[in-house]
Amino acid sequence: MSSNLAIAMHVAKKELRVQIGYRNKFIADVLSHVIGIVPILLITLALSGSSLNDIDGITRANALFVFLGYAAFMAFGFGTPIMIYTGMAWGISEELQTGTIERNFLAPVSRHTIVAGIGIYYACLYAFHVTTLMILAFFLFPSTAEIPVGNLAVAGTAALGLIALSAGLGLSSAAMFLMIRDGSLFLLFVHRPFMILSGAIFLIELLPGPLKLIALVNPVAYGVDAFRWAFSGHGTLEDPWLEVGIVWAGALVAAIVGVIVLGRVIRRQSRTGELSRI
Amino acid sequence: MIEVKNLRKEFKQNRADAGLLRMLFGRVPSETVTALEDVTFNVEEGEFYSLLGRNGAGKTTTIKVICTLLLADSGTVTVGGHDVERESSSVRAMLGVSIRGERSVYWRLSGRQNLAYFGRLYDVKGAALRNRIEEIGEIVGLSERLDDYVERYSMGMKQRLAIGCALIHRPRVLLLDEPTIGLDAASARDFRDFISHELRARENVTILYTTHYMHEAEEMSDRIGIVNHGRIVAEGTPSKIIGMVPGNSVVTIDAKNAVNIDLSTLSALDSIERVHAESLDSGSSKIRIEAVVGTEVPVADVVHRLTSLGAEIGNLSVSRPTLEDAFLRLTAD
Ligand SMILES: Nc1ncnc2c1ncn2[C@@H]1O[C@H](COP(=O)(O)OP(=O)(O)OP(=O)(O)O)[C@@H](O)[C@H]1O
Ligand SMILES: [Mg+2]
Repeated sequence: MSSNLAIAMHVAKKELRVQIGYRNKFIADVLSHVIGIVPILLITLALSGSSLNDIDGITRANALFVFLGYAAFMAFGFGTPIMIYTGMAWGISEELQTGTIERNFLAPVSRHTIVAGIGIYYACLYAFHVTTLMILAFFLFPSTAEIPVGNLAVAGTAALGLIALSAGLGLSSAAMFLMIRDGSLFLLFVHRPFMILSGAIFLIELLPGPLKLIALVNPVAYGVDAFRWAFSGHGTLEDPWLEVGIVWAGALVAAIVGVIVLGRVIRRQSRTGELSRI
Repeated sequence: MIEVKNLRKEFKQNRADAGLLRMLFGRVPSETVTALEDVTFNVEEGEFYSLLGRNGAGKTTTIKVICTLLLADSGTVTVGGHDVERESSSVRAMLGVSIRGERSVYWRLSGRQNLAYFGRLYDVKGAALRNRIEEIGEIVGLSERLDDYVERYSMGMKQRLAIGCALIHRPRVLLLDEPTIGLDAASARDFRDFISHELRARENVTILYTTHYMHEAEEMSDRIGIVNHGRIVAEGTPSKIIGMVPGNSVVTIDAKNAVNIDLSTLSALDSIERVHAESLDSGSSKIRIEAVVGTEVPVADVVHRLTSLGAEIGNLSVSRPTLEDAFLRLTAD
């Protein structure tokens, strides 16, 4: 039997083909992160008080701060309309509606592998978002061009850690989707809080006390901070490599929890018949 | 090959007719539907076994349990000796399944991409997969259309593709839930021929089948199980099932010069239950001869006697009880 990874990659490739089939949505998925950053940058400019043809140093520093935070958060997955559900749950919601998820579950491969395969497609999409934003940064903020290799390693592992964290949470969000057949709650209760409490677009220091505490147990915050440190030299939380470790630890926990939760939900729904309603 | 023992499955269904407020804030009233009461049957290796039953009888539920999509409340199911709950992966590897055909393929992919995708999930790959896809294209008659998006297929073509996906890994056991639904008469016939000549004669595939087309079941099945309200209420070869209901073979003859014939000479023949004649306006007679249940009217003898008594035989028709008659009787409430 082929390895689980090979099967998951195969599922991911299928997902890419299917998504390309929905052409307009696919184009939005691929490009909207670039459009998404425009209002955030404009708000930053406006709040910093510079005009567009006369940007001062402080504004530039603020804009870079926000840009890097946003780019890092893209790794966690927020750049596209799909994020209403977080990637995997989106894929699953579509397959539930079309009826193909049942057909997939008839194959002699682990059902987690099928779900994870859908997740790989989205992970690649997020990696693409981060990469393209960093290419954009190269032109917008020429200073990011001369970065030591060690810093790049921090940025890379931080971004990959955030993607892994997103995939782990994706398993739980897929499970949640199966249970309530709606992903918007996930957006409301998980994704937005993760965004606001991550320091992606403003300093965690600026949050009210209790929220600051919550933000400090959010692994995404450390990933964002490490990523930003790598390109700007400014970090606010811990040593960058320690931060990378925290992100990966979070990713591991999320993956374990996700595997267990999804397994339970699938089993439960095999009993109630909800899994095979079509 | 497939052993189903004392299978039981209940579903809890929320009632849809509760008031809106109650549905929002109260406990939603639900009722328990017993889909499978107690189902037991075996399908031998190489056998073709059909489950027949009315809508909601429990056929699809049974198939879903066998193919591991659904967990039963109690009872055991094994396929090739593997338990469906404990060794579900081995079971799935042996099975080719088609349930709700056209919904089970990706409409945004081509036929070929669907076959390639599902083939790979069953560990068929490389050149073997490519060859198999061509073969399947031939088998299900989609060779010309393999590179079209499934979206553009007709319903029957989608159904055929779904069957193709079920066959891609040469499964030893096939579970086919109403596979010929939506197929035109010619395609359905081709499909049945393929099942009998290729799958059964050459590859000795075991098949569990459901259909609402009685002639299909009668033509192809080694054995039939009639499911009613979640139980197998009758089981056996098609002729055994047909024989289970009272109903007899009847011969009807239009004859001239038969008005004065003494019908008791016919009743005296073996295995004739009843003879009845009526005169038609045209001057000829319509003679109706019923056989004793489970036997046939000795047509040659009857004709011989009638002609030797001077009658001229016109039309002659034979009718036997059908599987449909038996089905209706066995599943009547
Ligand atoms: N997922 C489900 N949830 C709740 N009830 C279900 C579910 N699936 C089936 N049932 C119920 O179980 C019973 C048996 O359904 P099943 O689909 O097995 O019938 P069937 O014999 O396949 O009928 P048909 O000929 O219409 O396909 C029905 O009463 C149905 O309402
Ligand atoms: Mg059915």
